[in-house]
Amino acid sequence: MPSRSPATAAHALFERLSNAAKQDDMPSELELARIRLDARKLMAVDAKDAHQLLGGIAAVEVDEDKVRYHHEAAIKLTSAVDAVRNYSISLQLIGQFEDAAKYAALAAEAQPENLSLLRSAIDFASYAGQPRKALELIQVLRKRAPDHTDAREGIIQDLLLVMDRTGLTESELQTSLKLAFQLLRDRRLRFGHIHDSILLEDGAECVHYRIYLAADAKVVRELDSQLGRLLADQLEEMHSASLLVDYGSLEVHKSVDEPQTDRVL
Amino acid sequence: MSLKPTEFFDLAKSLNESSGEIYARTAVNRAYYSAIHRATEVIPLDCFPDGDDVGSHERVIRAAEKLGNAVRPGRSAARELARALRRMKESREIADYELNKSITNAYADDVIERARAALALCDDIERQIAIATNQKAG
Repeated sequence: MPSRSPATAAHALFERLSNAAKQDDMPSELELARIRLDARKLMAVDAKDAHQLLGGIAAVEVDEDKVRYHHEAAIKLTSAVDAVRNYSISLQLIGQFEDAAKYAALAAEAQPENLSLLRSAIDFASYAGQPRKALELIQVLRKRAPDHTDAREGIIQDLLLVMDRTGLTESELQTSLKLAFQLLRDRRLRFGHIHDSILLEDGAECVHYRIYLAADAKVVRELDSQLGRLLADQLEEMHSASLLVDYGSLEVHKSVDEPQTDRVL
Repeated sequence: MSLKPTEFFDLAKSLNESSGEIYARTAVNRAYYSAIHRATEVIPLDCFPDGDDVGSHERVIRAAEKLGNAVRPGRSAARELARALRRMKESREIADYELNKSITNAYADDVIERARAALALCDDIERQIAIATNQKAG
């Protein structure tokens, strides 16, 4: 969630918003309304922070137009890396991972000593279905911190192996993930976690992205069914045997699946 | 065939009416098998991959994928079916082999409902193939 390092009047607001956004389900409307009100009051004295806060609130409410409007306004007002980083965080909250990766990488270039920015860019590129881009960023991370190993590298290498073996393309991967997150944005639904796993069994290779939702199991099934129809309609060639992008209900699956990767906050 | 795939589905529902993990796990298994058997019935034989380099269930998923990527009747439903089978296969493997995980009746219910949707897709494929065959014959 958008955050600010120095302790300022805005800091407490960033903290409150961050706590609200960490929940899997929608934070209370009352709390968001209070933060919004305080952020608007802040506009007169600190517009750049106010815009970032309002952009963060819009991300929690899955309102893409407002996310882009407020964060882009903030970036015009300041050259601080925080504004770029916060934009990337809001973009990932609404499932716009390609742009989130782009802005996280920009922030990482401006602050090369801050490896967490680069790690975020790697995660976001992965969820955008850009394994080669993620691998490039891992090489940059290696140069900056030679002793460092990134947890995602193994998954990305396995993913590229599956793509090589099955003919699954980066374009199909990206389109599938984009459709899945677009459907959530259209419904103004937040996702809880993403779990990505790779099965390397000979002849049964499969890449699986499960997007967890804090919604009723029936609602999640209906959404998943809608996603299945969208994928069937919009993909030119469909590698259903090798790629599965689906939704899971946090309620139903919490006892079964251990989310491998939490939402990055 | 002396047994219909839908009988597996009915058994899955019946099993899951009993509370307890063993019932839930077995219900997941039966629900999955109802879909995989029904898919085997409706997908044309020429869609199944040659050779035995993949497992029997994987062959069904790949056959559904092949039908889904062909310009043939049932294409769209086959695409959705391949995806549904892939997902249920994973659930079934968890239910049958991963005994350290807790499988609830709610989890089984979710798989049963997904199996119901997969069976409807199979019916759709069968219907579309039959329409096309009749048109060709007429």
